[in-house]
Amino acid sequence: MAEEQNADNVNVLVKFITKQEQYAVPGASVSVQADLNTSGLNKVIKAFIRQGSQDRIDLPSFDFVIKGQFLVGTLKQRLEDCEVSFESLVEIEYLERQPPPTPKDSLHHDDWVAALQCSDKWLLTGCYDNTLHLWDVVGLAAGQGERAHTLTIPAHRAPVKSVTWVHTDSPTKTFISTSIDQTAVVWVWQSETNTVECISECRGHTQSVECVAVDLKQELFATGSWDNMLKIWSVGEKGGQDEEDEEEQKKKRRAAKKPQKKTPIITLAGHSESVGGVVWTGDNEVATASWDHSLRVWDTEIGGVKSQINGNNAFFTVSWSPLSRLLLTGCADRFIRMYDPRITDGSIVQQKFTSHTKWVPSVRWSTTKEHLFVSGGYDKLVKFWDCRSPKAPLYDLCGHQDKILVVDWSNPSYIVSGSSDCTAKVFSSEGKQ
Amino acid sequence: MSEKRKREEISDSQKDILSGDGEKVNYMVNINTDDDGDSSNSEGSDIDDDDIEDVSGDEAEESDDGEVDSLDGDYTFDDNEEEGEDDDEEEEKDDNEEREDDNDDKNETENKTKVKVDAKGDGDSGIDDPSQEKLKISKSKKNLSGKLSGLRLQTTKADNVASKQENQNSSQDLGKPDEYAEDSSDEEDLRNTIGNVPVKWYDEYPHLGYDLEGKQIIKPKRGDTLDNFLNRLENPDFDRTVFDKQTGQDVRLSDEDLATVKSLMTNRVPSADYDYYAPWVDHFTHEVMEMPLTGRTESKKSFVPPKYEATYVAKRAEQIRRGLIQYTKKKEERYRYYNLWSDAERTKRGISNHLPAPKIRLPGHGESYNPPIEYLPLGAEPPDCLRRVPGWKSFVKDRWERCLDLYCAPRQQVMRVTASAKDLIPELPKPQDLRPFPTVEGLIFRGHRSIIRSISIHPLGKFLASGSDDQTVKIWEISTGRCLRSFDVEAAVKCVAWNPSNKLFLLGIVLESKVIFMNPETYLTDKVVVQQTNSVFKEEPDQGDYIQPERVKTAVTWRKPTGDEWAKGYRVVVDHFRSVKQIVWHKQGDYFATVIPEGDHRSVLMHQLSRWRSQVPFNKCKGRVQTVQFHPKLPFLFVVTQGHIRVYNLQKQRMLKKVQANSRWISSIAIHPGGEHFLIGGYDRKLNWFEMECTRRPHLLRYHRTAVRSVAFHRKYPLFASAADEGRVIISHGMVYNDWLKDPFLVPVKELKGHSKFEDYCVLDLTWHPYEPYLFTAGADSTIRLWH
Repeated sequence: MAEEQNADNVNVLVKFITKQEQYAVPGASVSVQADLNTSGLNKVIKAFIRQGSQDRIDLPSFDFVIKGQFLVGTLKQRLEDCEVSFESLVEIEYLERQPPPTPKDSLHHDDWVAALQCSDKWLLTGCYDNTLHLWDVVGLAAGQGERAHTLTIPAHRAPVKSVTWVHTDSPTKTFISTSIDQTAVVWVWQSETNTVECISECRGHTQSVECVAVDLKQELFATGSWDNMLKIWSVGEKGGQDEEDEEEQKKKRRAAKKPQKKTPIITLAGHSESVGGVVWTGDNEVATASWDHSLRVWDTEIGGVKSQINGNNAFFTVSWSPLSRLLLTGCADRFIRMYDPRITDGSIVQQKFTSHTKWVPSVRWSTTKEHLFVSGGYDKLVKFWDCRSPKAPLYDLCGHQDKILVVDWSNPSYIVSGSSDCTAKVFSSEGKQ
Repeated sequence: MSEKRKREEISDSQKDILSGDGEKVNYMVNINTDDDGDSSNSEGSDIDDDDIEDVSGDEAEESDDGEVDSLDGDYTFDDNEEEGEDDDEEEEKDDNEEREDDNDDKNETENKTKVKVDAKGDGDSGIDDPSQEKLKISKSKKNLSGKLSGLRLQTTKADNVASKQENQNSSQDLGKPDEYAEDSSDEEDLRNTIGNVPVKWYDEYPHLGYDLEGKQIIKPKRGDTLDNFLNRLENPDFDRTVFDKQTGQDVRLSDEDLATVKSLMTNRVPSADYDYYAPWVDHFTHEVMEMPLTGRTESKKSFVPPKYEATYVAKRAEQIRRGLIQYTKKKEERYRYYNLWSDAERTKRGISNHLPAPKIRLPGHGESYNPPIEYLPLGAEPPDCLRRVPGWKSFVKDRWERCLDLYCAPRQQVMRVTASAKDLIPELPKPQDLRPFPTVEGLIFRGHRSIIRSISIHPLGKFLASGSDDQTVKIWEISTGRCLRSFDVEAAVKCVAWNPSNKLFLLGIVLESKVIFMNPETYLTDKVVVQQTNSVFKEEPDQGDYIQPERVKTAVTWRKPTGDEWAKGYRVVVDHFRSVKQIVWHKQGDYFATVIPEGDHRSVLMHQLSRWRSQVPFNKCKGRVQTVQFHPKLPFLFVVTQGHIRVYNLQKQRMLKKVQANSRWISSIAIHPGGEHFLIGGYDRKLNWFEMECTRRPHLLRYHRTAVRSVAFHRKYPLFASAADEGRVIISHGMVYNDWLKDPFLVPVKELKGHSKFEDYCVLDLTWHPYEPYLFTAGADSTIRLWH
């Protein structure tokens, strides 16, 4: 246990801890060389685990978290960065290394893929050629490629900017798409008959509708637009429509299959520039990211701003994780910033992720893992991050030939990215198996 | 023993001592060597009477100490000795009286002989002699004390002593006593080499020390108490025998030693030959001499101030305190003569700032009369006289000239500026502190197939329009770089400009001699605005009884677009008589100006969109009009010709200002959103920043190496950009202040490179995003780039 302070070979007293019980080791502290890197530590910890139980031979690689950040270089550098004394006991948390995402498929479109979302079985993409596409995720996983393409919907009169699934459990599925044509459209798709119906067209924005988000109860959705407004709509038929001519409209719809025209439940004005990202952070609580350099959390019941966080650049996108309750934003610079919406005094950036070299138009938290998220940048890379590793992503997902416009990780098994090279690429997030 | 006999004996012994018998004198000298260091430290000839007394006292004490030491060693023996001494005491007292008498005589004779000897040597002997005498005395005292402590007797040759005394004499002859003359520590005849350590350390050993060869000196055998007793009875010399601890031998004290002991005990001068009754010799002459003979420091007594002085001072101080004594100010002496050289006088006379004459150089080797060999010129001999010294000639001349200089030359202080070029450059802040400004390329808008002449950003800041030589007008989404719409037109597009009004969705396009207003019916803006725009242009406005002047009629024709053209989005077409270069909107979006470079006197035309009316504002146009620009706040129009900028007040219809541009061929103008400054870019590579109030002194910015094509101010941030044909776009920070006296703060902060060249053109147009610090540049390489 004694620490040897040689000139070039310093030993550090460390204690390995883990939250993954199957790999737990006795809590004694060990002395390791300070110039070990991740692979070196891996050897140490593997030997340590094997020592404890004889039967376990196949062990995965581990990653190491020291003082809340991933170990990237050597232990020594990390300790020096943290300004931790070499003489103190260092707690190293180790966790099984996230397996690298594997590319599954590339879906060719006729135009830039500006929006996509993946449900448990179906992938919905929105294109700059005004169309929506439906893809069979199971088919994709089976490697069917183009044959997995299920449906093309000529949905809008202008490029589609965002899409989202609403109900996916029953055979009658609902989704919403928004477009530059200033509308958001609610669609119902019968997966069995493969027929799609536009049930309502939400008019109210005076400029391009940039983003859409469905609330947790799947009853409401919020849209943000270039016209600086945030509008809340109901998904179903109740509310928000004129009571007087309900009957009339129903008749009309039945007669001509015309979509119902919807008006917003509430319009929230406050941003001075366009709203780039919207996300529900709770019941009746919406967070928006705007080009006016601010993040706002709105109360949709009262219709006011709950809190505001000011940044120093235009926000393009925002993502919220119910697990960590943190907001991730993509900005008009190359950084991804993490904010805590509960801390509102001033602009408090919890963490800044630097690896992209150009604008980051899209970030998405993982829905199942607390620390993981993906981001897509104009530098043609999708990056796979752990929020404890702010300087370097875990993996770079290459393949796109042009700017990434959107990424999605709604289906925990698949990371999907849409790009201006007219493809959407599907990556399996769970490794090879 | 009868008294007489005794006397004879003593006188005999006395004689022995006084006769200067070798052994006796030697004894005195040699004992000194036994003594420890402190006796040799005593300062030879400087000792005077007082000192002698002190010394004797000290020595006596020391001798006591010695006895104590010896008591430790051998108590019984010492007891005996003391007894013996006591016995002798009475006898010796008598003896001494006798001896004194004798001594008088003897001393007289001796002194005489000594004086004789000294007279031979030097004249000063009269003074030196007595001191020497005293020396002897002191020495002898010390010797004795040494003897008492160490109890060691030595006999050396008389010659030695004689020679020593001679040495002493000779050294005194030189006037400086040799302080080592009597120091015989070198000659010490050491038998025991243990050094100055207590002998009792060797009590337990059979030996009592080591001889010079390192062999042990074995303690000689001592008899027991009985032997001692027998010895006491039998040995007649027992009472004058002492034990030498160093050697372990018994030593018999001679008569002379006894005499010395006796005289010490009676506090007399221990030396037996000391003459108490020697005639007085006047050591110090009674005559007052100018120079004191002694270097003796004054006694401390002399520094004690007399008491009366202290009382006097105290008295005065008390008087001053009480205010009884008042010192009146000394009357200032009336100015009569001035001190020519004093600085105070000079300033009084108005000659301030006395300047000292320049310092003369320090003499070097050339001026040296006796330089070291290595500093002599090669092969030169040291000069034999001063005027042969190499530096002599110039030395004399220099001195002469310096004297002349001091005498004649008036001095004046020259203000010298010691500033390095660095200090003259204003301190620029770090570019990081001036953020935000565009630094990197964010997006590339690809799609055009030819040179892009002009770009314009819609005031909403979401999309921009571009016009290219490939005869298309494209509308782009800014956030993604996506081309949303593309319109084919009949000719190369010279200029595009969005209508600044938020009520109209209208893009002005310049095609050769046509100016087309197009409503690109996209979903980019509110449908209401689009429809409103369409409805405005559906009908031709009623001209009423307005008659178009001939001059205008021949120049401009307004017309409705044909059906096809309407379908393409055209809403109004304005045909000009010659090719149009530029269209500039007034900020309210109703008026616009067009520039026709070849239009001679009709180069600039003003139009009103809502009433379809045109106007030729100037009867004459001097020079070729390059560009025009509206003032952002006031109804002013800037008309830029090749070498001048004319500012017109449109309301009062007169020229406000004519500015001589500091440039030979102006290419572009940008007006600061505050309206008080404008920026001129020229084909002669210059960039000039003008202030409206002070147009004579523009700030010249030489950033570019080739012709400047385009300049632009940001509407919100203190930024401006300039593009030149070499492909560089330079972003500068240009802060203006409300204080007119304060110069604008111009700092170039970033150089952007990215566009490639095409036919010597590179960046043709640039424009700022309306509210973000993004810059858009249109290049000849058919791309538009966004910089953020």
